[in-house]
Amino acid sequence: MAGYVLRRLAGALLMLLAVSLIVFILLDVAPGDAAHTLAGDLASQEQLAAVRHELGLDQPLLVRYARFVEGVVLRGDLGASIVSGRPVAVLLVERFGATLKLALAALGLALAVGLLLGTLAAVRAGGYLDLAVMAGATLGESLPSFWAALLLIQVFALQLGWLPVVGAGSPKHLVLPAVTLALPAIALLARLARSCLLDVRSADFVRTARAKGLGPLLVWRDHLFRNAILPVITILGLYLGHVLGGAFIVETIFAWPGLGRLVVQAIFDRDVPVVVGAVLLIALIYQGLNLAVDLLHALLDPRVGHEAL
Amino acid sequence: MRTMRVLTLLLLVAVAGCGPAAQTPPAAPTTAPAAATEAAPVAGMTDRAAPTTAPAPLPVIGGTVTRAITAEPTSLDPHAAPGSGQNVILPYLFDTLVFRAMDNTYQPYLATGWEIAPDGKSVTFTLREDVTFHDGTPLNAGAVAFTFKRFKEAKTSAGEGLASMTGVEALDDYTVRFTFSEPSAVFFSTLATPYAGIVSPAAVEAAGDAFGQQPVGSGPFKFASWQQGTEVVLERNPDYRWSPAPITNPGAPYLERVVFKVIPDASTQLAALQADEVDLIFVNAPNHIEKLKADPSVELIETRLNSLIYLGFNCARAPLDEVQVRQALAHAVNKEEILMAALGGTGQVAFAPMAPTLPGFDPSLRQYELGYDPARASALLSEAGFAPAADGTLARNGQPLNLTLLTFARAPNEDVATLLQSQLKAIGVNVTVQQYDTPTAAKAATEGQYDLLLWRYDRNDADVLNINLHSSRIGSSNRFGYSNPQVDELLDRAARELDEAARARYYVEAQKLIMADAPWQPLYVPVDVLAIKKRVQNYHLASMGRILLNEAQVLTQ
Repeated sequence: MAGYVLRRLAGALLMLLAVSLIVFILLDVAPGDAAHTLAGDLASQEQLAAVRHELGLDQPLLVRYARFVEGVVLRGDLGASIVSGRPVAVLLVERFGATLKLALAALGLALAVGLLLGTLAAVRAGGYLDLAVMAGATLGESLPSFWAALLLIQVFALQLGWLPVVGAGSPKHLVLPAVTLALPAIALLARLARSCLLDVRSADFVRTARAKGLGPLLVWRDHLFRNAILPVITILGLYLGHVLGGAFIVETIFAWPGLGRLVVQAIFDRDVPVVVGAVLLIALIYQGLNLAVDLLHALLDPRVGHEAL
Repeated sequence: MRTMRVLTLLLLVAVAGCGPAAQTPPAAPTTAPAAATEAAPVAGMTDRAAPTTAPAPLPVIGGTVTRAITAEPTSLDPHAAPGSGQNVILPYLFDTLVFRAMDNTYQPYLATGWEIAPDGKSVTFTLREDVTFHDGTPLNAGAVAFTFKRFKEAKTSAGEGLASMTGVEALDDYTVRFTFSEPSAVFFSTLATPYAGIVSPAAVEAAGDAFGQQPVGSGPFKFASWQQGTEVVLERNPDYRWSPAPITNPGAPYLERVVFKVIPDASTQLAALQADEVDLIFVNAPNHIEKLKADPSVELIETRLNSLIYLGFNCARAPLDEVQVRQALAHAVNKEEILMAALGGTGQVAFAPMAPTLPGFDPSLRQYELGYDPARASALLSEAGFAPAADGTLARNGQPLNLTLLTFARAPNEDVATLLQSQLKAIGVNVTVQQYDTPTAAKAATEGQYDLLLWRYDRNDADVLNINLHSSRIGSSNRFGYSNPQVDELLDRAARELDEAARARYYVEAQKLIMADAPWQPLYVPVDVLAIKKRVQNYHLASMGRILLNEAQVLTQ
């Protein structure tokens, strides 16, 4: 198991190196550079050249990349934002806190509501409740988040006045963005949980368990749920990676100070160190989550454990 | 639910700052506005265009005004790269030597007076002697010299106006002299921008690169906190005694706090205003303006910007290198239709290259406008040798007239570009619209990779024509490949002319030539509509879209 984890970590390192190089190349190919951002729209060529020289942007791509890798490897330093001059690590930490809070709230909500609805639908498969949940899931999946967000603001902030529109100060501020972010996941999880539970319900081992005389509660808990949860965990891992990378649209609409807005602004500003730092962080999160999901699988499903680890 | 609502109310009340024990102002207790006697609590929507002159209740200290900002500044250092939206916040934190009035004249601010040498190559300022920075250090000639050396070295486009400045020195504690290699007409407008705010040398040295995160100036409000991605909070400067001319309050501001909330999305800004979470937003979308017109708690004011939206022609590229073709395309543009369809009738049609709020604009230039005249457009193109092909597209020597229209992604550019496309189609010109993010579009424009350019300028000085249309700028800010030696000569003279009236005349002459050459077809002057809660009283609108809160107050419900 330890060897497996080590192998995975080594792979992750290579992956991060590749990701950072790709981001460097992409931003280099993209038109415009941070000198434009810094010197302003009407700057002369001389002003631009002076700014470029000062920032080292006139160096070849590989030199800049080598400097970046050197900084990270030797000093653990991600560099500083070209535009604001602040350390990238500080920027990421500031924004990641808000993103993490929002992601975890959305995840918790999705997990609780999605599983509950999915289970209810499975138990009452074919009934009105099932129909209602599945119809709701279709709706939830197809609502674009910017629209859902504006709808929620209209109803809960403006009409009812229960919740604030923007800000990040209190738990109340978290509710609307978390719900918006959770809606598609709730829909997905409800649908997934329902179909997995229905699949497993007709499996042989469940019939055997029933035949043994196990009560319905025990059958559900030990046999149905444990098997049906595996795909759910895989999906959750991906979902969490997705929302931890910064949910740009939701962050923009609710003015939530998360990672997504930081990255998009940095891309527009061609602020290479910030973009690279953020993409590395996101890649790292995906790697970590994938590993966690695989380990969790092994833990929950003895069959996986022996083959893979 | 009920308790939730009560809680929200309480929160609002707390935000509104009608908290306990409102103190009386230590600064100006005796100068309570005479207007207080004629107090009408909810006035202030009498004259939409003018600053509010509403009588206020007795000034009490307290209250918060919250303003939504679309973009979060990267830095609050006045000398940092402009354009990230810091110009909205800087004027509250920093004072400038001179104040620019609505009529574009310059009035004393930190400088009590100034003297321009007869040769125009030096300007000497006398400073107020009672000004201190937020850190307690005195604002003196040394600080001013320090500021302008730093500003010039920062090499940002905001410091463009200091190009011919050769030095700045403190003659004594409160006298400072600027010297120039040649007279600089753009110097005073540069002095009045927020980017020329005087910084505390002690604070700059102490903070180093972090100064932009903890700015120290001498303004009516001082920096309190900055929560990245969320808000910037300023608090009142109790020692403030040096308000510029339009302010009658000689002392410190009454407001306890000014908060700038970062809200990137326009719909959310609107919702936040309606939910009383912010007091002040700028609205552009016609449907948002309609919505707010129906809201009795909101006052709407059209603010004039020193900006212009124009259609630029690439004079270096065939067939637009022919003046006839440019004039023809200009005649094909129906500006009224653009204004109505894309902007819901806000804004005003432009005819001259100079924005109407800038010196050098002259209504008489209207007679030189290449107005909407499709017949004339077709005639000019046929004179130039273009004839309609079978499908109606104009062609010359077998080459169809296909043009690209480049613009940047920002409302309502897409609508305007589509309209231009259909208007040009009507005379047989095929237009392909290319809309990119701003840095991409700016690079393509600078490199001249376009035929038609839908663009905008925002600049507080008439030198915007020098920057955009002088031939020495071809390859950088003259993106049009436009060159006319007579225009260059007039622009050069204007740049050296310190007499405002004479300078304006040079610009008028230059514009006559420019309008005939048609490197641009001016389209419209954008309008930003300020939506402000009526509970905010006694604010002042100043030039460059500034909103002064030096004597503003919030009414408590």
